[in-house]
Amino acid sequence: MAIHPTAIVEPGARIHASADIGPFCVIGPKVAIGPGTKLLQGVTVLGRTTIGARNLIHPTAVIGGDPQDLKFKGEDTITVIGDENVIREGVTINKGTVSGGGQTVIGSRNLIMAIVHVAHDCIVEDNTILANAVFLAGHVRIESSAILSGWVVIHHFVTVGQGAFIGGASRVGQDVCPYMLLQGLGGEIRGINSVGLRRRGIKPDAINALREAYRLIWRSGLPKPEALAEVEKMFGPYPEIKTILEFLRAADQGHMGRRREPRRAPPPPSAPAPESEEDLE
Amino acid sequence: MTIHRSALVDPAASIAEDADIGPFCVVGAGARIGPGCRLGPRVSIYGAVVAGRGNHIQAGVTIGKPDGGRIEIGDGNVFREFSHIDAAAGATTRIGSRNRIGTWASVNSGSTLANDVRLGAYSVVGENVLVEDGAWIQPQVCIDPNGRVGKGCLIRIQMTVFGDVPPYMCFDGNPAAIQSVNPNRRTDPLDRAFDVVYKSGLPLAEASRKLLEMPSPSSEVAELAEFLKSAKPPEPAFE
Repeated sequence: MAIHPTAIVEPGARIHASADIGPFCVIGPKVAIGPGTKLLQGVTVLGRTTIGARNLIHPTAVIGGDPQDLKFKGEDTITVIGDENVIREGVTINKGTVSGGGQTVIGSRNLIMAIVHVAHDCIVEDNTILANAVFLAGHVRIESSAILSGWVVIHHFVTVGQGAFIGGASRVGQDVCPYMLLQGLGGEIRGINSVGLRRRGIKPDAINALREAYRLIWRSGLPKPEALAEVEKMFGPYPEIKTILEFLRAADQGHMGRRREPRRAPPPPSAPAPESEEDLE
Repeated sequence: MTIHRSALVDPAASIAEDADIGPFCVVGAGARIGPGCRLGPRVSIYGAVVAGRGNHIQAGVTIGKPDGGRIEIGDGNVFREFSHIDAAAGATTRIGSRNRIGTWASVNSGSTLANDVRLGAYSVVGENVLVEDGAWIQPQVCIDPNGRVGKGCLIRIQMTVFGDVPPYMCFDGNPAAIQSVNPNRRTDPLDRAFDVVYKSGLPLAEASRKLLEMPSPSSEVAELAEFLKSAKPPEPAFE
């Protein structure tokens, strides 16, 4: 075990023998760090946080800090980080809240670039890329292999579908359909993520089906349920098409285009009228 | 008072009895830290910084700079990770009470955040800006120097603000403009006042006079009228 003599590791922290804790790190008493994980200098890990194997965490990142949520009253909620992630400088990952499920989860093999903020109760699956200064508000879910460009802001309770690509400085207020490309202040879907689909080895006929589905759903002017029915009729058997149909219908069953929105905790009876985006900070 | 063994606190700094200074903090000679303040790991405090009661200053925050100006902080504020409060030599920056300052946000020299302000992550408040009570500035917002952000207004994500944002209004869109009354603060008189000011095309000073002639104006409408007397209209960043 290599713990630098200047690092502060509180009694109770569990550090695997092959983990490497750099100079001036601060590790809280309820933290567990797995094999081969390397913390460079000045990393802060707080709260009840579990970090898996072979992660590389760059200087000054703060993991497991308190949620920025008015309902938080010091509960002992958790943060879980999987394996082989790269977390760059100044990233902040907050722990969960009780009403939001109690945990913030980062999967495996994600690249989280500098000064990204991951708020309470977010779930980031595997193989995603969050570019510099991406902001995830609370309760967001980022599905596998999605790519978020720099300065993207994601609203509370949004789900970003697998393999979606979000262009720089976009503002996303509704669920983002899998395999699509989104860009802009209004969060407009602009096309399919054709580069991402090719890289992942999706067959050309499936890519063509997705392209046609995009035209029918967002460009034909058909009412959405009809467009979805048409897509299902034409390309139903493709698994990628099944995924997007299921995703879009779930988003419609949610609220304001967000399938996770109904998870929002109801305000206590004595509370004043709720703000529309209560703890977006 | 607990000062972590790795923290560097100048003997001339005044730290209240039950304040808590975390690992690797650096607190300079001019600092006065009030009761119940908690400083997380790696907080830097330089120059004349006066902090009241129960402020929670989290990892990596920097307040002040060597040879800088004065920073006055009230009670019960939360400074999230890496946020930054600045004061140039000769200037005073004021943070009232119960403000919540987001991750990587910064407040520049000579600015004032009144009370109950929410400043979102990555947002920047330029020099000599006055942010009034209860304003909500969302993430990635930039407020140009010398502006005023009115009481209870809402500035949406990623907006750049040149000029003043009147109280209780919502600033949003592309091109950016006052869009409506802040949806969290809507009242009938404010809705009517919005129509008078932003649907009439009148110059703001004249609209302000019209507001005072409205039947049964609320106190909020009176505040809006007062603000508009001397307000610079907010301009879109790019047209």
